[in-house]
Amino acid sequence: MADTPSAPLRLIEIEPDGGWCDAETGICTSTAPEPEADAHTGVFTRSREARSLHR
Amino acid sequence: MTSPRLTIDMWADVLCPWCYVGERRLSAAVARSPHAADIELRIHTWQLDPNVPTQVTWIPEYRVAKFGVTPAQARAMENGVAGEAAADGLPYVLDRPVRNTLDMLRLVHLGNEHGVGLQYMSAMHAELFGGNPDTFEHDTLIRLGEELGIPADEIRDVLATDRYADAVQADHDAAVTLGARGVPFTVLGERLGIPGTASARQYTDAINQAWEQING
Repeated sequence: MADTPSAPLRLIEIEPDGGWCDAETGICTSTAPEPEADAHTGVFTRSREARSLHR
Repeated sequence: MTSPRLTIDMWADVLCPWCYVGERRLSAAVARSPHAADIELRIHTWQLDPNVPTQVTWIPEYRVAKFGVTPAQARAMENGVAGEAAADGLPYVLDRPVRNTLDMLRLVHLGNEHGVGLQYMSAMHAELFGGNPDTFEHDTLIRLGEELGIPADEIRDVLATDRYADAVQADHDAAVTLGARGVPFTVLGERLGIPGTASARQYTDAINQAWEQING
């Protein structure tokens, strides 16, 4: 099992040719997780550096 | 490998089509990296839907029952990921079997003990999305494990018990603690998180960035 990072993860937004399967709904979509929803977890923080990875 | 200088952790389920695509893209990105020899890619399990029946059914019928959609809509739900798989050159069968994956995920943990957990899940993905109707059969899972060097009696022992069920739960809990709400979910160097399947270029960029942050 992975160790829990001591600092919050920085989130990278996925591009349109990616997707995921939502655990709550079970639906697999090409739509990336909503940034606002992620922020609500209180775990992820976003940074310009991370966002810039897909630009 | 002695001590990896960058560790990448990916959470995935066998049923998850985006995990299938994402694992292949990430593995390819690691292989292409000039630091590949010093990168460890570790697979973790996440059971996407524990309520999937333990009897084999078929994906369209499963989705019709689960989501209340028509068979045509059930197939259309996968158009996006099927297109991406095709673009990546991966086989992708829409009418494939589906069954509860807890046994498979427990076997992935057995595979991890033998150092081939990632390869074991990858082999399961290949069977499932390649259209093998017997993907969930014990004989298939034993064959796949044996091909990776896992003794058949160890696989049978796991299938006959609940061994590693706690490890599956522990992996899930760890991902939730990190903020995961679905799969695939990838963490690079315990610093960067990718919720979902990234593009091949994004995985490469993320590996480079994590490497620089840790070793630069």
